[in-house]
Parts: sequence; structure tokens; C-alpha cells
Amino acid sequence: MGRKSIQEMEEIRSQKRQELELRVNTKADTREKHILVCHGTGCTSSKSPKIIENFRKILEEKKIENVRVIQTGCFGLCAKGPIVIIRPEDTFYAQVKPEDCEEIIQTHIVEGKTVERLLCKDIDGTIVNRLDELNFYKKQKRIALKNCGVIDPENIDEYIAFDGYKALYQVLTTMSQDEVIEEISKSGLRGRGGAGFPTGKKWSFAKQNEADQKYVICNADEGDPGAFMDRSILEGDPHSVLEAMAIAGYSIGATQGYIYVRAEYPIAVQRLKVAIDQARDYGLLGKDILGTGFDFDIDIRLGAGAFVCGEETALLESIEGRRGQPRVKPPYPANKGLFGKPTIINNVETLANVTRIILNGAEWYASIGTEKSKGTKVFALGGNVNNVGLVEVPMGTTLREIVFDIGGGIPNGRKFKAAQTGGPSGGCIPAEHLDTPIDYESLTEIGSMMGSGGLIVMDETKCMVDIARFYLDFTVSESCGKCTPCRIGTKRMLEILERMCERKSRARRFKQIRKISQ
Amino acid sequence: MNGKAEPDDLNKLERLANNIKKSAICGLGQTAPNPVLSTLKYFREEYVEHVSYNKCRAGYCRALCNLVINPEKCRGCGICKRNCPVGAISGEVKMPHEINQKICIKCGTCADKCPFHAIEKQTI
Amino acid sequence: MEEKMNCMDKKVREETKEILKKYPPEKDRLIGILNDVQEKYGYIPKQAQLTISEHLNIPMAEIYGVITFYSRFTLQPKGKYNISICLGTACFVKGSQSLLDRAKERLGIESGEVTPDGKFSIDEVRCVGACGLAPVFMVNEEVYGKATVKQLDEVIDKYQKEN
Repeated sequence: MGRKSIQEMEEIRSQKRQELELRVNTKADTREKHILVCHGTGCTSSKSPKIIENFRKILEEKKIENVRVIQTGCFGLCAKGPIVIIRPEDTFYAQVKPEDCEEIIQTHIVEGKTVERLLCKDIDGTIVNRLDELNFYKKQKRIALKNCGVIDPENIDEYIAFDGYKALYQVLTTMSQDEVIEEISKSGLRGRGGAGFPTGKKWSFAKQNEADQKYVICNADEGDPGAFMDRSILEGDPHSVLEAMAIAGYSIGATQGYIYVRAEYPIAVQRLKVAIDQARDYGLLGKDILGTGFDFDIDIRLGAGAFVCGEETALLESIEGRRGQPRVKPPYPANKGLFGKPTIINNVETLANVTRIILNGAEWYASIGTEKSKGTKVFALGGNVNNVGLVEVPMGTTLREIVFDIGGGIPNGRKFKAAQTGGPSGGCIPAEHLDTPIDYESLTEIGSMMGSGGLIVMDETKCMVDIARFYLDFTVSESCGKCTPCRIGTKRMLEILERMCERKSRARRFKQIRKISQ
Repeated sequence: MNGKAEPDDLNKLERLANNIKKSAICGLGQTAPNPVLSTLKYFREEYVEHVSYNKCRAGYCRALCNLVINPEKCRGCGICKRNCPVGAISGEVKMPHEINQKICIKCGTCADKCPFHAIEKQTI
Repeated sequence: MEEKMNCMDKKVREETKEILKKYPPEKDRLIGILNDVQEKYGYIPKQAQLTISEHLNIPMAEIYGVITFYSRFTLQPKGKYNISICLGTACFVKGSQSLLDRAKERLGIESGEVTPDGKFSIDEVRCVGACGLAPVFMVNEEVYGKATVKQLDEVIDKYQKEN
């Protein structure tokens, strides 16, 4: 181990890439097999670590040599977890149990036959052999999630194999600060945390300010209940975030970054710690990165269960060790942020797009999506929908396509009633707007918002008044208390909604009273 | 809560929501009323039904609905009775079963398990 | 009794100092330190607060303010079996509210409270990240996915029978 020069990085890259060709190419020329097992939080709760352990044990017992068992990040189709994928053939086994490992090794690895009963059934009943045959994946375009499910997130060499840290040294060796910001601006990348502020603009504001210290912060608080996009990126591809932060730091003139991650994500925290250590070891973080004279380091700061800390100024308060109460804006963080210095705060998913934009170019990115909303968006699809999981689609994909084509429609023969986007800050979209393209402007126009990506589908058994009550209940308990409108106002709204959900209507009382008095 | 849902509650709710949007300090407070405003916009009838008729058309709000076994669909298989966590269901084999509303906690397990979809939600 | 109290306090003090050693003596590290203490004890003991206050030169009132602001930090220990019910939207929409109501009913306590015998406590959490298994509840670290009221009953029964 130890510091790597640019030359050594290139060597690792080409060597590893060859080794890992089978991860992305079913026709790879190899005698190896890789068994990929999802080790994201969802599948971990369903015993995927045991599955990994069993596979390794059985392979050792049977003395099988050219097979590796790899833990990866989220494949996306959580409804069918735990998921096991065998490469290079890309065979997709769903809802695998630890007891199934023996059979998979014997039948698939040794005898070369698929284990029919574990193959995934699509919604219409067709049995599918491979991942990309599923309707769930056909309309997706994975940019931010590109490496999730492909690489072992705790192995930096695997990240490097798929062009990891190539964007960073392209930036450090061939681009000026302004050129980087220009590229990000041209791409049209907007904040994926929910507000959709143009990322390039934010970076340029911070760059313009003169200061002895500046900061790059990654907002990994992901407070929206039902949202797990950021978690999956951190668990499946943590280096992409580190690399992007370093690029951001270079462009604005910062030497220190912080990742503010919620403590309720222990696996993500662990993956980040490993990734940071590995990056420092290779000299990709710290002093004089890749011999270019650029210093940048990253530290983790844990959240402590306050939804409001996802708001950028509240987040700053929290990192400074105080109650997470938002600051009045202006001044904006880009001018006066952490410890009073110019700071940019970017969401995990926003950052996960940066390296791709640098490598493939702003024009490529801008060619995806709609006029004002470029690129893709990751959604955590949940609720009353068949294919619960993580999806990434080009902006402009309609809600109908997401719910029905990708999501597989509503289970139990029920009907679509509404979809909620934007979590407690968003709105419900009814059936009449199913053909709305998903982009920032269109959603705001119909009374909702993009939000961070939580997309909850509701069927006819959901009471919309109760849903409003549910969100307000959350907001009331999470209100920081600083300003009266929120602290008192939301509580009053909640009280009204609670009254509505109980059977105490005055109109009825009058009827009763009238009846009694007759 | 011992309040009364009044017809004016709807207007109050809307006014509150719009005021909070304009005056809260941070993005969270400003967007907190959104779920209320958007459901009011598209599902106003449901609000009106709750307030004026104590009706929950989704059959969700416990206080406003009862789980009831439809005697015409019920085959007396007993699956609901066996699965009820509080023993609220009674009935002989192959005879229509009945739910004791005083004991029922409205968890919905019976309705989920019934193979004949004989359990329905009814407005009180 | 007082001797015993002092022993416990001393132990907490020493252990908190060990935690503090991992951090530079800067006020902004408060939340990281509190997270470690919470993980170690399941709550933030008063003695730990005092130790941190002295070490970082932060007034007790301020520490109290931070602890009470963040839902992860508690001033009371949790029950031996902490039942956390996920009320994230995906779970809520799949019926986790009835799990919460049932837990409250069975144990006779509200969320955030502990039963008098210290055996059970109830917590509401927002999204443990296992949305594919909604609705979800956890007993300490163990996750029960696709949970039903019946399952919750069985789990409570099982732990209630234990001594």
C-alpha cells in the first residue's frame, strides 16, 4: 500500500479493469466466476451477511478455486432481496436464503445449471434469467448508481478499475478552477437534495469569496422518512462522493471537507471510514494529492436524529456543536458558512454525478433529461407498489412510467390513488397527473416538489386526511422551535387534522341533540 | 383530543398553512404545510367528508370505521378467528362469523387473511 | 448507598474521559462525543455530562440543551428490550401505525417511555432503511420485517415470560 503516483494509478486501473471485466460483460473472456451479494442495509436485515459467509465457507470446503464472493451495494430491487448475482452470466437470484447457498454452489457453480426456483419472477409472471431483462431495470439509467451492485465498496482498487479518481487528476492536472465550475454549470446539474439550486452557481459564489479557509460539506443527513437514495450511494460507492468533494474543494479553493451523515446509518458510516482511510493511504486525500500540490482532507461528522439538520444552516450549527436551529439567510453559506467561512453544502446524490460529468463532459450530461432539469434522478420507490426499491431515471420520465412500468403497478388488485414526492415538504400527486414528467418545474407546478427522491405510492385504502396528519405529526415533533410560525402554527394545524380523524363533528352532535330533545 | 371538527376547520387549516409558508425562517417551516395544501387541493372531498359527515372513504381512520364481516361472503372457515390477536371474532365452523366491535383493535389482520374478501370497512 | 453511587459515578467519569481522549478538546466535537456516550450506556448519564462540561468548558445548561434537541440522545436508559417501530412513510403506508398502537396497548406506556420494571421501552423511528420489508419493527438490533400485529404479540409474549 502507500502513496500512488499517477503512473501507478493507471497501472492499477488497467490491470484491475481486465480482472473485473466479467462484472459488466456477459461475454468476458474469463474462467472466474464472481458471486455478488447485496450488502446494503435492506438486504443485510434479511441476513445477506450470513449468505456471504455461507458461500465462502462452502467454496472453501469444496476447495473450489476460481470463484470469488463479493459484497456489493444496493442493486435496487429491494422487494426481491436478498439478491445474489452470478457473473459473468449475470444470473439473477432473488429472495435468497442462507440455506440456499449449498444448492447454488452445487447446481450453478459446479454443474453449470441455473437454480430455476430462485430465479426472479417479473410482475407479469415471466421468469427472468438476467438483471437487465426485468422491466424494473429497462427504463432506468444509472449514473449516480453506476457502481452500486458492481464493485465491492470496501475495495478502492475496484473503484479505480472503473475510472475511479481519474476525474480528480484530470481536474488537478488539466483544468483551472474556473474551468471546472464552468463544466459543472454547463451540465445543468442541480441540487438533488430537494431545492434544485444550480450546483455550478453555488460553487462559483463560494469561489469568488476571499478567505483563509473554505469548506466543502456533503449533506448525508437524509432525513426524509422513506428515502434511502443517499444511503445506498454511500454504502455502495463511497469513493465517488470523496472524489467529488475533492474536485469541489479544488474548484472553490477549500482544503477541508466534512461529511455530515446521520448516525442511524451505521453501515454507511463504516463504509465511509474505510474509504477515507484507503484514499488517504494512496495519497488521494491529504497533503499534495497525486503530487500536484493540492491539499484536501475529509472528516466525518455524525448527526444525532434531528430532521431539521438536513437544512443547510441547521447542519452548520450542528457541526459547530450546537442545537441544530437554522440561521436566518442571508448571509448564505457560500459567503459565510461553517465557522463563518465560505462553505458549499451539497447533497450526496448531487456529488455522485460530478465525476461522470467531468469524465464524459457537460454536453453528454445536458443531453439527458429535460430543458431545465438535466441528468437523472434517483428515487426510493416505496409504499403500495410491487417493485419497492431504488430506481434512477432520466429527468422527464413520467410518473406513470415509474409507478407502472418500473414499479410494476399496485399490488393486491388495488387502484392508484396518489404518489407523494418530497417527503414532509412535498405534496401528493393524484391519478389525473400520472402523465406529468418528473422534473423540478413540472412537479412544483402541480403543487408538489422533487424533494430528495422519496416516492411513496398510495392505493385507495389510504386516507388522504390521515396522510396529511402523518406528515404534520412528523413536522411538529421535528420543529426546532426557533420561529413561531413553525413551532406553533404546525401544531395548530395538526390539532385540526387530528380532530378531523376522530368522530367528533359538531354537525353530528347537533343531530344527536335534536333527536334527544324531540 | 376532545375537540370538535367544525366546518370552519377547513378554512382555518388553509389560512394557517398559507401563513406559515410565508413567515417561517427556514425551508423546512416554509414547506411544512405542503402535504396539507396539496391534499386539500386534490382531495378536498375527503376533508369535507371527514368534517361534515364523519366519513372516511378509505376506511382507514379507526374512529370513523368498523371492520365488519359480510355474512353473504363469509364461509365460516375460521381463519380470521384464529389470526385475531385479541380474540374479537366469534362464530361456528361453516357459519358466518362476527366481530365484536368493543374488543376489535382494527389492526386489519382478519381482512388481510380472509381468502374470500368477506371483511369490509364500514363507516359508523 | 452513597458509597455505591460514588463508585458508579467514578466509573462513568473514567470511561467518559477515555472517550474524550479520542477527540481534540474543541467544543464543536460535542455531538460526536455524546454519540459515543449514548452508544456505550444507552443514555447520557449525569456524571458523563459533568465530565464533558469540565473537559470542554461548556456550561451544563448548554449540554442539556443539545441533548434534549437531538432525538438520538436520551436522559433515561431504555428498557432491556427496546421496541423501535418504524414510522417512515413506506412502513406507515403498510400499516406500522397499528404496530405502534398495539405495543402501547400491551405495555401500557407511550413512545419514549420505559415500563416500570425496566424491561420494555417503545421508540418511534423514522426509516431504518429496510423499506423493502415494510412494515418493520426492531427489538434492540434485531429486525422483524413484513411484521404483523400477531408477530409483535408473540415477541412481547416471549420476552415477558423471561425472567
